[in-house]
Amino acid sequence: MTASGTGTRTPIPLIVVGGYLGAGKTTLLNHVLANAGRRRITVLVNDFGAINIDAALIRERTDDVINLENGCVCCSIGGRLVDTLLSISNRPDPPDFLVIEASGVSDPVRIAQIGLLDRSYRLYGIIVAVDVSCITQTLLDPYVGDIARQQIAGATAILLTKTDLVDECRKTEIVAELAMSAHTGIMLETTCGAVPLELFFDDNVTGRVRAGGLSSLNIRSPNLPIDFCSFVFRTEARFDRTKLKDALRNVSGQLLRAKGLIQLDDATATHELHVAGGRILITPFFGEAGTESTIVLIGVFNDEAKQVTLEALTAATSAACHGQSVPPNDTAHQASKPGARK
Amino acid sequence: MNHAAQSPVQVLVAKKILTMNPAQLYATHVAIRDGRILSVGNGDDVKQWGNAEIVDTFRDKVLMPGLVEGHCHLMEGAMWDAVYVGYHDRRGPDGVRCPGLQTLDAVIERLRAAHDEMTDEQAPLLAWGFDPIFFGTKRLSVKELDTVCAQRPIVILHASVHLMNVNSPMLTLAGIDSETDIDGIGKDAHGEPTGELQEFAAMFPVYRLIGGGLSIAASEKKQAIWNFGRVAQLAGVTTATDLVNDFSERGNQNLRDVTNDPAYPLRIVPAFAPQRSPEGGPQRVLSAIGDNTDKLRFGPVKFIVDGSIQGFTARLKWPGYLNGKPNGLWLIPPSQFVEVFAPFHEAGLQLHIHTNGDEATELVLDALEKILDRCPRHDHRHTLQHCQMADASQLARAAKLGLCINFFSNHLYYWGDAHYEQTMGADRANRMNAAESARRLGIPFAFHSDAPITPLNPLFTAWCASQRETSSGRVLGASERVPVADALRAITLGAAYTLKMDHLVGSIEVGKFADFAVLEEDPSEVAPVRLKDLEVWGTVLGGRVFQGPAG
Repeated sequence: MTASGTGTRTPIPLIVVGGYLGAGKTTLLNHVLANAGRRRITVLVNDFGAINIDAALIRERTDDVINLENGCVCCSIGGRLVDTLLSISNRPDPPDFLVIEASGVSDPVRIAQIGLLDRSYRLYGIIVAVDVSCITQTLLDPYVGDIARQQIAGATAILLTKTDLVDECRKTEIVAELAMSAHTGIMLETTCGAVPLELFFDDNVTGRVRAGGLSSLNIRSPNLPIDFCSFVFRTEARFDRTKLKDALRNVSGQLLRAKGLIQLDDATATHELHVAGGRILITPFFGEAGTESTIVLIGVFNDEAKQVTLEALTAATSAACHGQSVPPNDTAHQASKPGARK
Repeated sequence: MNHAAQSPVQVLVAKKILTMNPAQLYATHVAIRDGRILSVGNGDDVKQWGNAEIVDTFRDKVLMPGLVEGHCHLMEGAMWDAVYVGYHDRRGPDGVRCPGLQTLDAVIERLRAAHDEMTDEQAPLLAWGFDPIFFGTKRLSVKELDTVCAQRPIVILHASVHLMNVNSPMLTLAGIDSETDIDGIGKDAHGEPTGELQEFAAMFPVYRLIGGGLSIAASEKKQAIWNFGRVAQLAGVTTATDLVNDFSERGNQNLRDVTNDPAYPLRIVPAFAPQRSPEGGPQRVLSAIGDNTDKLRFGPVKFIVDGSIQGFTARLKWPGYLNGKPNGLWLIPPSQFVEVFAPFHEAGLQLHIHTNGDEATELVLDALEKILDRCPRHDHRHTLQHCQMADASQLARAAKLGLCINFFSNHLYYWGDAHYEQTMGADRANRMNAAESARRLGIPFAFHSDAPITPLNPLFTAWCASQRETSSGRVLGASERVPVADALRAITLGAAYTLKMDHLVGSIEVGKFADFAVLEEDPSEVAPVRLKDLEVWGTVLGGRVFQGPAG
């Protein structure tokens, strides 16, 4: 029995980077590694063909790169991916972060979901790179178009790459085209793989909480979000499980991820909440926790959307269900940017 | 052999010898020296080589060439550590016929018996081979499995190895409950998990628990290699592939050690799978070939480009899956086929490419055409593995390109009904595994079991290809039935040809290894419907007799 040993450790944050061949996955990964500071990051490259080049490029940035030529994720009895993920989580000194670069023809969601079930990993995002100079052609490809579309649909954030190769007008068209398949509304434009670290690391977001946007990110297109931020919801009231899930699902298009410690009206123990890719994980929390519920939300929210979300979360508490008096403006919830309230 | 001329000669006398050599189809005597066939014919023919020890063990038996299984996996040998709960009878390495289980109650009963025998309180109970397709709408669920044991985790791997059933202790260990919000977790009308799991993420916590149990990397365990050899021997097989091998140092050493043991009854052909072991490339195979022995032969290179039809992960051409499921997945991007395959082709190696769906087959044909235009090679014998849905135009192209095809004929029986009703529909199910078309086109062909996916038993596989009956008794495309003589050739010389071993095995001819399957009856003369029921007495490998336990 090896399962019990992993129950109490802090889960390893997991980001899966997907996107069709040549979309710029490796470039953006290198950018993240170069700016990772003191974080210890393990990178698992699950690509085929150009693998040696990719791995060599990445190895310049971190020692901890694991090559994994494309195994069959659908039938991974004893597959290499399984072995590798098990061994990473069983290390005496596990990494601060695991990034999996998924194969160009795989559906990153399939791998990413371990971070919504297995106790050793927590999904922080599915970041799909899209090469704007050839995505239209890729989507029309009779053999891989469906797969590229699936990747876009499963993304929690889409990174538009090689944007210097198309004009603004074309870019607008492409964003509209992607929006037809994408569930996420988070689309960012990058050059040279300069992915916003906020997509990966919480503490980068926390540092920007009051910024209200990412002006430093060279975001020009009006179609791209400028309200990337995090905010906090706090309440002393207990949540109704179903209503909480509904409220979170309603904002899944804007939400990169959310996490928190919550009190539920159907359970005495504190629970841990984790949301990514529109999917919700609620598990009992065994650490020390206060009596209030706190949820940190990270995503693209303007002031109005933020307000609507906070109200929806308030409405999901049992206090609200039972019609107890909770004035909409009292301290039952607090945006971390209180001045933003209109 | 410096003193070959002085080695003793043995003459095996049989009721009948089916040589598979068209120039001399039948014989009664075969002379053996140094593990090789010295002479085949009647008593007078083989006397030319001088004094011989006459062995009449087979006086009332029929000998045919040792059967060759061109696409199976050592993993078959690892499965038998778990409890078999399949629908059909299957013989384990001990030769004991494990009866098939035709009701869910029988499955539960066998699990209970296995559970009662377990001494380790903590160990999970692992079972394999279960296939719900035979039980209509009835499904196994946690409810039934919990009646076996509500404390010990139970895991049942399905025959397809794409799904599993678990009991509630396993669900708890995995952290799966009604709240679990990921794909691949079966839930009932009340939203409670049924214990049926598929998809990578859903099964991952189970892998965490069972560790290396039921792993495809079976050459890591000597016991699995031994079990594999025994299962093969019981089916009359003397040469078998391990068509996805990691070439790990320990695995290769294990294979060398085990096959070097004269008591090991099988020649093994491991195929290098670059998709699992990226390092080394063609040179890795070329180096391994340098260490080949008579019983361990490296050489083939295996690629997998799509998934499985019954798992809806094979890549299909229009009109796609009958039940409207989305098209399957690629394991290698089609635009990279050429660059991925070419280095192995250019190094003179032989490719075995898994293509289940017809779209996968088509794009692999495109890629091989490009590679062969650029770098023509005589007698490359690149082989399409499975190739289940190829149509006439694709087969014609395969013929022109000089490809071999190893069909997954067992699918006709095991999943034929599912293909007819759910995956392909009548038109494509009737032409699936089109071996007779391939034969008419002159394509070298073989049939396989893909064990452990289906049982390793070439005579059964030959029956599938010659009768094309599904398990419900429906005949799929009678016009694709292969004549029995050709079916028997496919499981001997045909398979040997796809492994570039037809100069060594596959027929009973002078110079080849003295490898025989020992049968009670002549398969070329029994009614074709009885091919699958023929009794295998045992095998002879390099002149050494391996009698199977009575089944």
